[in-house]
Amino acid sequence: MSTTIYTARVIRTANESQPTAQAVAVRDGKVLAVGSLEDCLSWGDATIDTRFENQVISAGFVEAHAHQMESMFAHIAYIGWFDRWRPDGTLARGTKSVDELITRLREIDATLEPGAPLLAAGLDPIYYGGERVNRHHLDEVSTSRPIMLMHQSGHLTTCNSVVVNKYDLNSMDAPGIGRDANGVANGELREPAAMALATDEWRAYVAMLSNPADIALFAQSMRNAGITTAADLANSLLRLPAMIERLSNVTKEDSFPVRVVAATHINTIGMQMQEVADKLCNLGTINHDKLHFPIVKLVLDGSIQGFTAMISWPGVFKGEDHGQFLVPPEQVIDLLRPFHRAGIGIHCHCNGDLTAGVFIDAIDQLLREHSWLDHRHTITHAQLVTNAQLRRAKNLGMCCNFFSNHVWTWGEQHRAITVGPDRADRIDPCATAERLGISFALHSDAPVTPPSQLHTMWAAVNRVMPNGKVLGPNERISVASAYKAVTIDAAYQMHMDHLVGSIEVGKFADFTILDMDPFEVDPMELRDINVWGTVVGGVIHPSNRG
Amino acid sequence: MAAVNTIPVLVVGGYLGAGKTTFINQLLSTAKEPIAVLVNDFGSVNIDAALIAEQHADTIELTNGCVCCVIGDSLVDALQLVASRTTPPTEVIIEASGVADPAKVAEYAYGHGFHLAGIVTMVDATTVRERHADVRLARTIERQIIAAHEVRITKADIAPLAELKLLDEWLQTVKHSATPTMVDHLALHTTNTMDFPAGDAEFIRNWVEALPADIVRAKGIARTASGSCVLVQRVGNRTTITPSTANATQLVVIRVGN
Repeated sequence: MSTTIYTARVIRTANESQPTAQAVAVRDGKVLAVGSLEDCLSWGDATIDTRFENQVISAGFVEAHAHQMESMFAHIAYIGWFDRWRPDGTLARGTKSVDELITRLREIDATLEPGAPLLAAGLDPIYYGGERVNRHHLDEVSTSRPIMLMHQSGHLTTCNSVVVNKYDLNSMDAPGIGRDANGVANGELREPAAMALATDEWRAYVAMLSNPADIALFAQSMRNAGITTAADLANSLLRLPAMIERLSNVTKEDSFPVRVVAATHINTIGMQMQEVADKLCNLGTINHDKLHFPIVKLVLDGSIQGFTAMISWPGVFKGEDHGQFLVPPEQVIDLLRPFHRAGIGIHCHCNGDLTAGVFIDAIDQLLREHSWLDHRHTITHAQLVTNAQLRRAKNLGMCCNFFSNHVWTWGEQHRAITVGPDRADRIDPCATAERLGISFALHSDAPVTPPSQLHTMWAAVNRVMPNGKVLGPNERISVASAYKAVTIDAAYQMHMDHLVGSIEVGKFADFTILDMDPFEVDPMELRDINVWGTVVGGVIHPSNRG
Repeated sequence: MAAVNTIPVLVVGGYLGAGKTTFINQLLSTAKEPIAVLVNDFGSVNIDAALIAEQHADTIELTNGCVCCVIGDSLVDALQLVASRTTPPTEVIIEASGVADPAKVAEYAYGHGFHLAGIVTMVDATTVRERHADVRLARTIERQIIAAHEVRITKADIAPLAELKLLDEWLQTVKHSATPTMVDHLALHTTNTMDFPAGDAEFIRNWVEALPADIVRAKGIARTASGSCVLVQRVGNRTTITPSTANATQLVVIRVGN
């Protein structure tokens, strides 16, 4: 029953009744005391550990919407425009031009066995000044091995001539095959149906995306970003009893650096909803301090940048609207009822406002049927949710989880192409939610954007786009509000705030160790703060980033 | 261009409750060749127990050689699975989900040894216009109809005649080339045959249009005064006449009730 007292330049607790402290005492993986060094010492014998005395101890960051698929960057080459960290702590530099892309691909090509496919992800030619990458560019890299590049959007691939010829794509009349001005296949394959025509390469790619055994790689990425509790929002583990048991054991290890919130993806679980709810209520010893199943996930539409979100009149700004419900609206309430009745939180992916409306309607009706005042059901992404919908969400006790990184990553495209200036300006309306008193979180949706709660905060606070302009200044929030949204309020919407999300007596000793204080730096430098590592349940986990 | 020896794929679309499953069940129970049906879940298929030879988690083998499979996470995988059967199916029917754009589903019917035979969209005569008036569903329903090579109207027997007339006009506004076929519950209708009158195409059209309003459907091939044949179709009060190379028939008329 030893006690360790950590001192720091400042401790940010995310507890508004005691926002800062000098020292925190840890016993049995929990916070024994927090306050002055004197207060902490008053509990008796303790070791004083000063290793963080020149750093900032923050309440551990909580990420309520990420995906285990972040681990893919341990397996697949990254060729995106922005820099991106891999789970092993190495940095993949962004490729800033077609020439750089080809150079990078040649480097990768040189490391591969003859005939092995070259697969890479993150291609974002939108930043290459209009130059479209096609098969001929990739033929400069190799005319002997198949090359398939996945675009950042996830909606198309670009392949070299080896792939085009291997599957005779040129003579196939499938609608998703991109063609040049002469009608010749240019190497682009659009949407999953066409992408899968490159059968072998597609399968090899899919296999790299989501292997439940890669949870340790996911955990490394989370730790490096300073995240101490992370939701793997949408998995099918309930269907795989052996896998769930393995996950339970792996996460229990002291060396496993993150608390995992496993959210069952009810769209694809392939079981009756009542059975899913029953199983979640009877997991027994599968649950432990570092593995929790308090919520489920329903996906209702697609993405704004993929034109598959369900957006109300006047619809998409430029381009073709492929808005798609994934579940018939009138079935939503029946799908959700067993979870609501069982006391399981529901996080519903709603990018468009039509889907947000369907979800709010369902929760409204469920609350009339079955009273549960503390449900905290959450609209996740909530990017185009309207003011009227937010007022209803507030009255119904719902939460939001905003995808603030969109402002930076796609803000310019949202203004110019997807939804137009008006709705782009109020995308991810954090300030409106705050004015209404709605509890909200910020998320990265990793791997869609890189995991970093400092970046989601930075985006919500500054709302700056790559062109330097501010997108919707009235939706900016303060650093203090953004900080709550990545700590205690993110924990709250997962029914985890009694355990994590702030440094308070009795809660888990989960800390994020930062080199600078988010409340002291220029808000434009929030995302540049170095994360030293984390403490999870009193166990120290340094980042492995170089 | 469909490659030689590829398996034809029929996509069945339509909103929730439009009759996709009933249609697929009919295809399964009357199949003369081994067909494969890919569905979203077995819960809704409700295959006649007498037809089931073997049931597994993701497939049901039928006594007539047909197979019914759950699509699961990947339509590509489901298609590959049925194509690799010892006796490959002569046709694959894919049940699109109630909110899917069947055109998107049809994109999977290329390569891998398949070609697209067509898209059939089921339209529930009693609810489709009401659903379309719901702003949340309007585009979903329009896309399902626009994607269709054939629109099948179901529950026409229980829809008021006035509604059928409005439905017909509405279908034309959604898709000009929609040629609805009525399928469901025809047993509840009375079917009669009539002889065409002698006259030119215009005379025949006027005669068909003047038939009583309780005729929900009429179809036949008439020989005109000039000796050429025309296909005559009436749905609700809309009559179309198109040239035909087939032999003349009587006019089949379907009336509501007995």
